Amino acid sequence: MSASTANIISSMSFRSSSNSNWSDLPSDVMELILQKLTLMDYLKCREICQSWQNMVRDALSTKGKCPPKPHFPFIIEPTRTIPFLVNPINGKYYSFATELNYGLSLERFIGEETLCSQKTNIQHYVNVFTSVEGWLIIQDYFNARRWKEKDRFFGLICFYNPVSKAMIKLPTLCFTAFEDDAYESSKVVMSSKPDCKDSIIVILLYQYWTDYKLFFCKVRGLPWTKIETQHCGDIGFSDIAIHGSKLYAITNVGCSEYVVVFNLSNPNAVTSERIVMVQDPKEQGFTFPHWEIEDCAYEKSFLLMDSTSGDLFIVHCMLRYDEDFENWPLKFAVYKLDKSVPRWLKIERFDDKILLLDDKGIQFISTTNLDGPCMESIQTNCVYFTLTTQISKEIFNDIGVFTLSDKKIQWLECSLAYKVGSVWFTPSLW
Amino acid sequence: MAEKASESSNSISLNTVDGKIFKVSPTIANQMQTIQSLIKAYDSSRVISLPHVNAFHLSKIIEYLEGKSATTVSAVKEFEAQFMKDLSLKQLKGLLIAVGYLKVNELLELMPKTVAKLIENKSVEFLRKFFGIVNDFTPSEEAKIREEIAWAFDGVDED
Repeated sequence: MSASTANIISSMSFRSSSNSNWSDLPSDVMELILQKLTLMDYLKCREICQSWQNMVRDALSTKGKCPPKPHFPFIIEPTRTIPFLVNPINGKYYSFATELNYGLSLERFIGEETLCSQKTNIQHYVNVFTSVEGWLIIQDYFNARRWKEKDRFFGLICFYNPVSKAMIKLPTLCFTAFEDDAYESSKVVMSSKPDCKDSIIVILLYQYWTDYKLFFCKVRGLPWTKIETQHCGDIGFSDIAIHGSKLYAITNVGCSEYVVVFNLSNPNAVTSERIVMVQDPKEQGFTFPHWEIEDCAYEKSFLLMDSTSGDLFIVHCMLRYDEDFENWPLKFAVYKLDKSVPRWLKIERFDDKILLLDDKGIQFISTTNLDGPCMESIQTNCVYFTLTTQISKEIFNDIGVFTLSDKKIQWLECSLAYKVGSVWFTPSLW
Repeated sequence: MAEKASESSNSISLNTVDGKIFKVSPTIANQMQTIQSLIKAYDSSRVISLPHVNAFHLSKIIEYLEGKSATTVSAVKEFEAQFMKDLSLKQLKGLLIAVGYLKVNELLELMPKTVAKLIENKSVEFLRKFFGIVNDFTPSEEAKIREEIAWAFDGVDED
């Protein structure tokens, strides 16, 4: 056989031989190789030669039958038109080769608005809310003050897959807000990827910091509909989570937090019930930590629905800003709802899973199918976080890993220029 | 290697495209799905011809299957690494095609993974040279591919 001169290129020590031409690999063999590559290398194979390009194109057209190897999620910058992605584990970062034209949504959809004729001089903003299975939920919102309606914003909310460039527009939502904090703190959850037409999308809007509103819509067939919360008492919600047509919301009034469950299956008759006291020291089953709240510290609760098991979790964290970054006393605690009592049970282990937390969302990911060199340093039973805190006028972001068992934090170095509001994102081809 | 000396009536005869006859045990033969289904279809005394597989590739596959069954669980990784290491790139490609045709499940897992490792984080230019592929795109075609899906990443290893 070919006794080519040994050209050791890696530990695998394959010899590159001039008489071997790999352009004519059978497509079934190529598909097996593609499935062992992460998305970036998978797509790179298109650029090798025409034959490989055609094979990748065919693999892409299978819509999921030939998927790339799962990759540990990236952190994506939220607002820039050329978003940067960083792999927080090995610190490697990637950029899009082509500028992402978020503004496209405006150009593409404004024709449907009555505002169309006054399109010039629109000051518009882009914001990434969160992501779901390869789709970013972006908001392209613009100020209508030119139309003599001060403080009124018209938000175009879209699902956007930056890999396939697919965009799915949601109904237009009008809201009122201060310019500066417009939607910085609102939250969006969705029951599934947008390609399912029954997917329900819920937005929790904080306005003027005291006014909380919940709206829901469907990708097709249901415009934004307000969820009435008066009968829940005059309260606000600090976080929401969704499972099918059930929306869970956690309240934040004083120390008597509880969870309200809304049934959204009938848009004309939304029902709700309280299910559990969350934080009342007199209540039996109270298990939250009695963290001593220090100066410049505050607590925040994140609600998490594990869609595979249908279990509800609360991730409780204490954030604090101090001039001395070395002594940031960031703490996390995770609770699972014991539905039979009901009460919250503190947990420190969740099998092979890890928690990914950002300002706009929280999710479990399984590490079982993840692969690659950086996976050796991935620890389970950990919270991987990118969190933003605002103290007076200054905003800070930190990225790290909190280990539940020993309560230690390991900071992760990320070379993003603008980390504030960054979210976890796993790119997907479909 | 092949059990050429075996007189066992159970052994299965395989005839490669370059005319060599291999006698293998049913255990080995059944790990090649294509042969497994041929055994069912044929009278077991007949020689099964494999028009797409040459003697070298078949001997390698048999070497892998026999070697792996004789290896302790803890040493499998090492055995597999050594097995892959002994192949030239040309042999690797030929063996991949043979394995794809014969459907040898374990090698269908191991070999694509090995090739993927060679592709990971490498530049397009490096890969063309490494795999002996000629760039048959016109410059405008090349630009078009990059537009097709926005996501072409920066960030490759030094060649």
